[in-house]
Amino acid sequence: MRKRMAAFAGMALASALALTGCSGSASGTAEGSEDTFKVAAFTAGYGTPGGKSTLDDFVEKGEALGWDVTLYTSEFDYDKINTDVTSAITQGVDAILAGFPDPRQVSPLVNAAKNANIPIFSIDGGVEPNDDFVVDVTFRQQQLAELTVGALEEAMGGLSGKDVMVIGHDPHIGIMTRSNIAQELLKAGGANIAGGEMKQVLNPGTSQEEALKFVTDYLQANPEGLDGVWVGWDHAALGATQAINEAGRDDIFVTGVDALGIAVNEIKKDGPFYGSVFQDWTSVVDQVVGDMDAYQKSGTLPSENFVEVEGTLIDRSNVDGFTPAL
Amino acid sequence: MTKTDTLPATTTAPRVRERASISQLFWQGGTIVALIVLIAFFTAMRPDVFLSFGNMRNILEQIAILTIIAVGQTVVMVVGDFDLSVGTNATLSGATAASLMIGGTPIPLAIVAGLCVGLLVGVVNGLLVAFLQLSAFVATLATMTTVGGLAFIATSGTTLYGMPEDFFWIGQGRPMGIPMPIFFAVAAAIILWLVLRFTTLGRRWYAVGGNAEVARLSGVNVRWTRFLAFAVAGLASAIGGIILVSRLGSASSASGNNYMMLAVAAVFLGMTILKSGQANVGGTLVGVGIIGVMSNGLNIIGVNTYIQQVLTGLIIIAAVTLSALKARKS
Repeated sequence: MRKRMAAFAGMALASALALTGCSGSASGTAEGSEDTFKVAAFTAGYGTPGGKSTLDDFVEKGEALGWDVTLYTSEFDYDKINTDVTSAITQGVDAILAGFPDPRQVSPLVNAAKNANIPIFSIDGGVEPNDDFVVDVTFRQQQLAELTVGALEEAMGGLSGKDVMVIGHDPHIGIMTRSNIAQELLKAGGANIAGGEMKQVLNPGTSQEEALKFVTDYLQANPEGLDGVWVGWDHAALGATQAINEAGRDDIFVTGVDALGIAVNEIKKDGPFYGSVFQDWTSVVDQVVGDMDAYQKSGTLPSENFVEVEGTLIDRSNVDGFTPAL
Repeated sequence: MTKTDTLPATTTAPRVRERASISQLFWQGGTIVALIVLIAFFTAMRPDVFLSFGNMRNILEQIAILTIIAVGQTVVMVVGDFDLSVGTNATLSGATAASLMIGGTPIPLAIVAGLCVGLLVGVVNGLLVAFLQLSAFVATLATMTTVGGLAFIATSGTTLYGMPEDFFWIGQGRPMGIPMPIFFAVAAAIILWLVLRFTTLGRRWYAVGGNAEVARLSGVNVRWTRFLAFAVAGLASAIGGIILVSRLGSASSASGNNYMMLAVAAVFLGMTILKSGQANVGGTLVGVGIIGVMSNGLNIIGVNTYIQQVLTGLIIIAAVTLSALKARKS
């Protein structure tokens, strides 16, 4: 009994000390926040190469400006993101950075931010103006689709009568938008969509293997039924490329988006991987950091709440002079 | 009257036996029948394609890595536990090997390091479950999360590439036209089948899975036996993960994660084959076969991936239900 009491007292003492420590640190932060510009940054796409490098870049640039930046991440778990950012708002932040948010899934944190009068600056937060964000800087999906479909058209020697597989991922709003635009462009050019409809990757994390299976199985069933594969992002495009290489085919071409280093290497081989689009996220981060800096210094919000920037096609013509960022 | 009373009894006896044998056949052979029905269905849908040599090779190549991970999972399920960390373990082990190779470590050394990482995860699971008596669900759920985080750290959240060309032979080599992963899968399945079937350790695994207390009273060191099962599953996951990296030519932060669910499903499917309802390598291979045939066949006939996922889920439900009903019957 005495031992139990001692253990209980020990645990209580430890808990009290821990709580004291926590509260001390919290009060310290709160005091600091009076002078320091506090930013809650979040992304549900930290597991993707673009998501991670962009948010890391933002944190680095923000901290260089003296901001107190806290990064909240998840693996496409918006429930966690909403909870984390909402509690950050409760604790007190000056601004929020939304990294690659799905605007359909962030209502709780948007409402909390509105109630607390905290502006949300966004990177790649959709395909149209959204009043939830004071600014959203993103790449123009129409242009990304046009560039890649154009590259595929060039590789295949036209679109009319060609069989093209389209691989997308609808849960990602940007990929969904450009995939649907690309599919329409392909159809308008007279191409047939292989399999009758867009192939959907279930998990971006395993997309290379999924795309490898899609194309391998499709070629097995339709050896003469494929001229090109349009893919919404490079990781899956690599799987499609591998399937074509393994089938020993040199007359089927693939395009992707992201210009990952590994994709750029494939383009250099003059094989099936014909082109990809480079999205300069560093300049997007610079622009958003600039907007946030102006807000911190003068309370000025950006004049436009939706800014579209353009990507650059990386193909055989310019790949040798290109240094991948991802 | 007596005659009329006895006659039906004599005529119904064979019927009862017949019913019993059909029922028994259903319980024990249902999974194999399902595989045959699936093959027959897809063959009928695409007679020129499905049963071709090229497509059979395709299916075997596509299920090779799952086979390796699933036979490792089988061992854990033989002792009555399961390991939720096999998928993230495969990812981390592969990423570790890839990262070391990119950094200039010789291929064999990097592979050994990757295997050690997988084994270490298995060892940790074994310690938590066998020695600290934690629930396998809670312990391996926790390691799954931790190992998944470590995989993000190992890959820096990006795609690792640039491993030496020689490494790709493991996953992309085709001696005699047969993809290398198939050889590894066959070897893993045979080795674990032999161990489970013919060695003392295998019998101890089954004894612990059957009744741990009886096994203990019979002189089996239950803790070490369970510990070893988790270590084997960890090692098998690492082998699968390293082959996956070689097969894809890259390592990402989640490339092997899906294998956990599929491996558990395959073992559950296979458990319906034995009368005892125990996990077994032969059954797991049938389970893996069903998953592979489903995926390939549905792709070939052009079924939407969302529907494919629904069908795979339904099959898992059916397998678990069969196992549960069978356990109740026995």
